[in-house]
Amino acid sequence: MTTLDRIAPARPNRLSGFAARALKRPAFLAGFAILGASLLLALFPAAIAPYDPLAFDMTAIQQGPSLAHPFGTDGFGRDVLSRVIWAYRVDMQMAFFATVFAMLIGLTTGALVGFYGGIADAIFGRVVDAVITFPFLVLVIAIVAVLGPGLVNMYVAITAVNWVYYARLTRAEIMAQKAQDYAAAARVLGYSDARIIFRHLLPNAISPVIVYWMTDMALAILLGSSLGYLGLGAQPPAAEWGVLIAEGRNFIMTAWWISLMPGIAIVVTGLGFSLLGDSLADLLRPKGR
Amino acid sequence: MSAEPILSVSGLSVRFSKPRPLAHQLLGHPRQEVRALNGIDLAVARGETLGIVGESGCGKSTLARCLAGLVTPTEGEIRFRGERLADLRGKDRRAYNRRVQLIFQDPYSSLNPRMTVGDMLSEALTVHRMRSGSGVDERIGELFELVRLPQDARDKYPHEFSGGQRQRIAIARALAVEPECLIADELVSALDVSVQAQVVNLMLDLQDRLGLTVLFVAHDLRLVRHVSHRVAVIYLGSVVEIGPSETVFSAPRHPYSQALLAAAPTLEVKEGRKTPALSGELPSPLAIPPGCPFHIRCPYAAERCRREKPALLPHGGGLAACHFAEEIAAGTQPVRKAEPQPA
Amino acid sequence: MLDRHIDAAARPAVLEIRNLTTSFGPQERPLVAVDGLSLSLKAGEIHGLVGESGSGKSITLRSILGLIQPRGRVGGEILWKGRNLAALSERELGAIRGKEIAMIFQEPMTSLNPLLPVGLQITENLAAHTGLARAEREREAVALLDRVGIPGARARLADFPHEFSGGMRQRVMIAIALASRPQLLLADEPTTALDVTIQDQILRLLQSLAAEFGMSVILVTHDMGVVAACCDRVSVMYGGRLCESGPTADVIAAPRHPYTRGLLHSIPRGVAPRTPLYSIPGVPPGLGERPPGCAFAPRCPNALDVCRDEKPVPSVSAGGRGLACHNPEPGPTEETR
Repeated sequence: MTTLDRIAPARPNRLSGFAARALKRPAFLAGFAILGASLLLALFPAAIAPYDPLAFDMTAIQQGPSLAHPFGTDGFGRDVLSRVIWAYRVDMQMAFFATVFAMLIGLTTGALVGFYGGIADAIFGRVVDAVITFPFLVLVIAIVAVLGPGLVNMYVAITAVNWVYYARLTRAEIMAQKAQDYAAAARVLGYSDARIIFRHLLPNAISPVIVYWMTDMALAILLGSSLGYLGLGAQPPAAEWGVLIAEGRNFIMTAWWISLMPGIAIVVTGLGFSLLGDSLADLLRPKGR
Repeated sequence: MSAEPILSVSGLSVRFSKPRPLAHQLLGHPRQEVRALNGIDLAVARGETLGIVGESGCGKSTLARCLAGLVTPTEGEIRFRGERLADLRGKDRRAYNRRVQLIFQDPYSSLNPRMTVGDMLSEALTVHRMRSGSGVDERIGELFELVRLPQDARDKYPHEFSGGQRQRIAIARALAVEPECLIADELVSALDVSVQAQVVNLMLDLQDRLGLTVLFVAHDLRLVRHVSHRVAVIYLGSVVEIGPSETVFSAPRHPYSQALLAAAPTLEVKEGRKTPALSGELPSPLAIPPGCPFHIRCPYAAERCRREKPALLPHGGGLAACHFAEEIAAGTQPVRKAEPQPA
Repeated sequence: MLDRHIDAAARPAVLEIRNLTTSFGPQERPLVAVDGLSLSLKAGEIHGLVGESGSGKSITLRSILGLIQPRGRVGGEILWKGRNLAALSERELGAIRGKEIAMIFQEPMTSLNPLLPVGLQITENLAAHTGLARAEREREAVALLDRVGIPGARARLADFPHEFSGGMRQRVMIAIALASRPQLLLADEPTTALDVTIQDQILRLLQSLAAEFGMSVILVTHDMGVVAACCDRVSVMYGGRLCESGPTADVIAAPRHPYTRGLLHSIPRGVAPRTPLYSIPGVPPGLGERPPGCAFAPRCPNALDVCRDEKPVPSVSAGGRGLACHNPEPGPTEETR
């Protein structure tokens, strides 16, 4: 008769385990703090910003950083700090909307072609080839040029190109997971394809995609700012970091703060996404193999 | 044991074509085929354990996956209680999957790392509507008892268990859907030696209690001999010998079975045996020799073996596919001289 | 070729391991992988080192060649021809490694260089450890491949490792190891990845090479059957410690440590078909969870109170049998269930 295996002592509950591990990582904490603060700024700019971002003050034009205006003022006497804070709303929105649809479309397409393969996969392969032969920015600019400038059109343009990268990543992950025995076990148990894909394979394939999404949000801010700078994204006088940098470009020698301060905001926010993404990559890795 | 087979295969062949580069396709190079199975005939009776042995690459895992419906055979048919697997669609096909369960060799990859053990079992129970409502929880408790896992296993993830415990979880998951036939593909070979016996005992016990039919695919001859009623020896995708376990192991009729048994490590300390039981290696399944698949390595091979593939015919207490089975048993078949192996 | 057939018992020990302790991790709370292991090896002897995963058998092998530093620490003595390998510097060890003592691994594909033809990998080793000229090296490489049973040796010198089957790759590994004419071959599960008929061929090869060159072999395996097939002596390890050692035939016929006995009894042999096999309850302890007393005590049917508190001290009895157990099975004459 087989004998009962000795029972391992019960472990603490899983979610608290994740939090405990996450809190031990300085990178996670830093990323979380930066993004948390960014989110607050994006949600309540009116409560936080010291001045109206659009109010002209002809008595204080192009003043350097001071106690009254920590980030200085621009060519119309607008407070740069307030404009940078208001820009959080636009830029955080951009980070999210320019990527989330790409991620969802890519995740679904990648999961399906990765699981079924065959002709759909072959066609997908050619689409990927076609898209990645063009530099990302060039393709996006071309689409925006057709649709016309503006935030929504920019989201559409970025999503139209970006989903391919998510789909490619998901497809590779799904194919790797599909080769595992647990996927075969699910088939032997007679589970439906949808159940196998979405309940078994995707949860195991999704972590790299989420990590990539984090980094991609940082890239989306850079891309959105670049387009704003070029006049293809957010339109002045709306406060957006790329637009702000563009506004200061003529005064870069005399009033450097107008361009530098929003630049720093981009760097810090991007860093926040990257730190969070990197630590999530470690935290989400399944244990025990 | 009833004579009516619950699961039978006839003329089962599986060929995988190797992917060809586009250039080769354009130049019209013939496609290369891996012949994993070459016309297998088998039948398993209800409640029986059929052992399947052979070396890696002989096709025994492909056979297991075919029977579990994971690989579609190129030729031949699989029948379950007289019905052809290839004819089953939709609901009937899912019912087949429920009745014939496969347990995988590697308990580290056969369990979804992101599901708790309880979730895995309740999924299996609800998808096939084995139980509903509170019946699910109750049944999970019963299953844990059946495979001797502690009840607190429910909320744990696979990585919290040892290899042996994981294999029990895999068994519990297979049993959740109340199968009639269990295919065990190298059930214990990934486990530590001292844990293997625990799992083998569990399987024997469950088989008796639940009246399961078992296909025990393994390379460990000692275990196969211990658990099987009948044994099939597979070489290069063909059954070379099949018969009652004791007959095959105590008086093998096919020269390959004989060599396999001689090479298998036993606990008898063999003083002075300096020559290997069998020379040469398994030929590539890309280029299976004509005639008897074993003739290249067979010490008794004659001209006829190079030309003609032997059929499975009654010899001794079972069936063997050898032209000279009787002569070899009588000791009258000449042994050919050792010749250098082809590179 | 050398032929040194001397009576085994009369030969002196070439390798003497005394109280080997290998640990990892922090000094104050070390993880002890090998705990006070002793064994001695004579010239031309094949010594089986048996254990399950985590028993410390592979770490023992790697400790001999100093392959676990700098992460691990090695204590005790490893006396090789009068020198203590555990005390040698990395440079001094380098001169012994691959020359006097060679090693082969379970998975030859990962230990052969996939980008170099095998002929080059053998002649490289010949160039490093012998004074042979280029043409002689070539000839010797062919002779070696031929000796380990690779058909058409000359034609295969230019082949790459992936062009060989698993069994043939293991032969190539052995040929490379033999190039320097080592006096000791450390074999870490050399046949675990191979089929039984190929395993049988490799074990016979090791046996004949040991006899022919007077080369000693330490063969690490988890399979008592492999030990029975080719080892002169055997040491059984559990939880980093030695349980039992002795001449293979004696240990298998009359195991005295309950673990050895359990291991042997769980292999079906002379029991009625389909009856429950003898099984050892529980699972082997992990590296960090070794009990304070005997490592096997929690799973041992013979365990006494003393077993839980005190590590058994290894003792050597008549007939070269070593044993570390507070409450062993009765001696060889008695029946062991």
